[in-house]
Amino acid sequence: MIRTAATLHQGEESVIESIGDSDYSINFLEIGLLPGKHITAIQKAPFGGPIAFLVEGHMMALRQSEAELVKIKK
Amino acid sequence: MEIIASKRTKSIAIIGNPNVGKSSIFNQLTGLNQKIGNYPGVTVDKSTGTIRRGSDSYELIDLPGTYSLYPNSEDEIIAYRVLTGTNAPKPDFVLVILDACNLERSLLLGTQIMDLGIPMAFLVNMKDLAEENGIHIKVVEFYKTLGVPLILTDGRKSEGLEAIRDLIFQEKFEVAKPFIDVREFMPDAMIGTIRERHGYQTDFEAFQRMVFSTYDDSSKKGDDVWLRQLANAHGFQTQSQQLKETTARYHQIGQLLKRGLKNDKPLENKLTKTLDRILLHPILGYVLFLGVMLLMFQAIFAWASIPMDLIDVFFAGIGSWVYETFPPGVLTDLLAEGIIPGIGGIVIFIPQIALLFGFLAFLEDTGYLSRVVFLMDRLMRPFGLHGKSVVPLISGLACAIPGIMAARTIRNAKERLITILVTPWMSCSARLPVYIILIGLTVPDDLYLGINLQAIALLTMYLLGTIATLLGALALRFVLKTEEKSFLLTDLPIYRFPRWKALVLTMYSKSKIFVLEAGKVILAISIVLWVLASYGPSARMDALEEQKELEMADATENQLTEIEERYASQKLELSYIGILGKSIEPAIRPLGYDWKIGIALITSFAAREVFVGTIATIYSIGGDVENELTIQEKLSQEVNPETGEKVFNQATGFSLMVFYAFAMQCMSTLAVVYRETKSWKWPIIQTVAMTVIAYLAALFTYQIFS
Repeated sequence: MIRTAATLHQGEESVIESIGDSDYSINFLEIGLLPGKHITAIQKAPFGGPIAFLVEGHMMALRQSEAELVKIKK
Repeated sequence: MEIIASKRTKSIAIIGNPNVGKSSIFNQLTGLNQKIGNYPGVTVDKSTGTIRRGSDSYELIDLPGTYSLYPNSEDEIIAYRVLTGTNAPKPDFVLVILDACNLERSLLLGTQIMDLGIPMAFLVNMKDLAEENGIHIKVVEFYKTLGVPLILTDGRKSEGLEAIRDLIFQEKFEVAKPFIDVREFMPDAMIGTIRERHGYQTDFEAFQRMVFSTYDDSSKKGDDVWLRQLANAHGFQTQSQQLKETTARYHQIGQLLKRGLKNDKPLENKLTKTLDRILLHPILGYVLFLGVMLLMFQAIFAWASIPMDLIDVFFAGIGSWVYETFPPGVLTDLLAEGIIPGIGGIVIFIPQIALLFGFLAFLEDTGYLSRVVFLMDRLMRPFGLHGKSVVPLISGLACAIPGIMAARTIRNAKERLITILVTPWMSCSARLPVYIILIGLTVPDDLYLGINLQAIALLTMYLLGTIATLLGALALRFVLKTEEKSFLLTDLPIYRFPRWKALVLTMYSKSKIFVLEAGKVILAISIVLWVLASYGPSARMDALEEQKELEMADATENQLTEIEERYASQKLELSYIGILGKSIEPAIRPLGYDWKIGIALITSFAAREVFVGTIATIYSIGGDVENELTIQEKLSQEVNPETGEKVFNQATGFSLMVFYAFAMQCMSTLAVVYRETKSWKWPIIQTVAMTVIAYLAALFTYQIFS
């Protein structure tokens, strides 16, 4: 089974494998969510809100639906 | 033949990713020689400044932050337009600000600009932070590959600024060789056709124009159909080619960074990581956010009230001083009854405006405002809003105009439109003086359970505005339709200490803009109002004058003042403005307003704060001017001549407050909504809806309390 960044537990680290197809794939690239980058979940907003990730030292926030497009290594 | 040498000021555009410290460098270079778009808040509008050395000067354009030249939101489109010369000539030079801690991402934008073929230079900002994190930048390696000048700076510590100045005044900008060959991603024939049609200098411009044609932007003129047909004819998949091009660019940037960078350790940003564990915490994060908001209100209401009281007393003093000092006459009347109360009504705002904008600037500068987007996104979504809508809404507490402009960062058209339409319901600072005057008149200054009743009343008005905003958004969510998906993918910048000097500068310049812009309108309205209130159709006015003379001749010394006052009020009734007010009185009678308030409703359609100035002017005319009463004291003495009741009783006061909470009553907002939505449809619908709702709500309020 493929794991996505949405399943990362708080504080858990992994490596981005690929970004799933969507209308806004280009935005993942532009903000720097690239395959091979280390990604750590830092905080999750309550009630299924956005997730804050640390990606190689930079903080960024993604909604669950976006985090599900970020495929990670197990 | 004589040749006139005209020396045009050359322009330099400054561009970079969001939060890269662009504004810092812009401020350091231009100092006070800035023109900030027009309205403050968050830096989303184009601001320009001048940099001088000796007789040389250059115009600097501070562009909104963006990650690429393929725009995603309205503010990024501005950057695209300026750099491609869509509406005005292209800038002569470009300064690209790079983030020393994130060169990879900033070079994505940087190398796109290289491919545009405009003479340029790179500034690598935040070098101190990079060095702390063990990142070493080999400038020579970068220069070898990029072929354009590269300067290391730290904008917050004004390091490397002299080098930037030298670079500018010696015009050491260079045209870069194309970083990427877009012919790998687009057929030659297509590039040639587009270049020819648009007269582009580079292949990349043609590629970029094609990508831009896939964005749904109503303001572009007609060429999209042609471009799409061209793409279809060549079987060109714009979106996938764009992805390939960006990936290739990243690959090449990666190669460059391997040679040009030395990292001792992975980037940590420990402080930001630790702070975010607390500030983004599912419980603690919200408690702290609430605390921040409460502190902001405390500042606006409690701290600001001290200087505000002083200003009020000061202007009342000036008014009576003018009367005592200058000879009686039309000009003295105009000054003391029209201009001074009018200006006083606006100056009194300064403490609150300055504090509110100072607070917002503080939140933005430290990096906290982006966290608010994270915290609020989930709460905003059920209302059809986006996490990013919070920034416009909070800005709307200061003024709806910067708020509506800040909505440009919202990419989804529906969420953006809803944000624009509901932001004017957030209780802006122009409503404050209206509320404060009316609460002062109708709510006792008593304690209830240890809390001041007037404070509770004010807080209620703010809550009313906020609830109305959310419910309005909810209603619009079901009315407006869209196919477009909403997403959140945002950078949370590192936390930094605020730059206090820049903060004070912001407070100063926002207050100045506010006073000058609003002051002009209010001054003009005050004068027009005074004239309309002092003159009327001559036949009836003359008859009144004659009657007064007759009565005065027979009167005893004691009766004189009484007669004077009675006729002054009759004169106002017969004046042009009196006629106007009287004519709308039947419509507003059910809301508990008399014709004098009617006048204020009409004039304050320009801007809410005009209400206070108008009321002040109207009640000064025909009042006892030698008595230095503040506006509030004058109003509380006002009684209805027919019933003998106070004009500003609780029912009327509450009804007025509710009316101002909901009604549009702001021409600048109307104008900015027109500008942002690019049609008259939305501002007109918005104004009509807000006014109708305001009328009904005020009617309801008056009927309950009377």
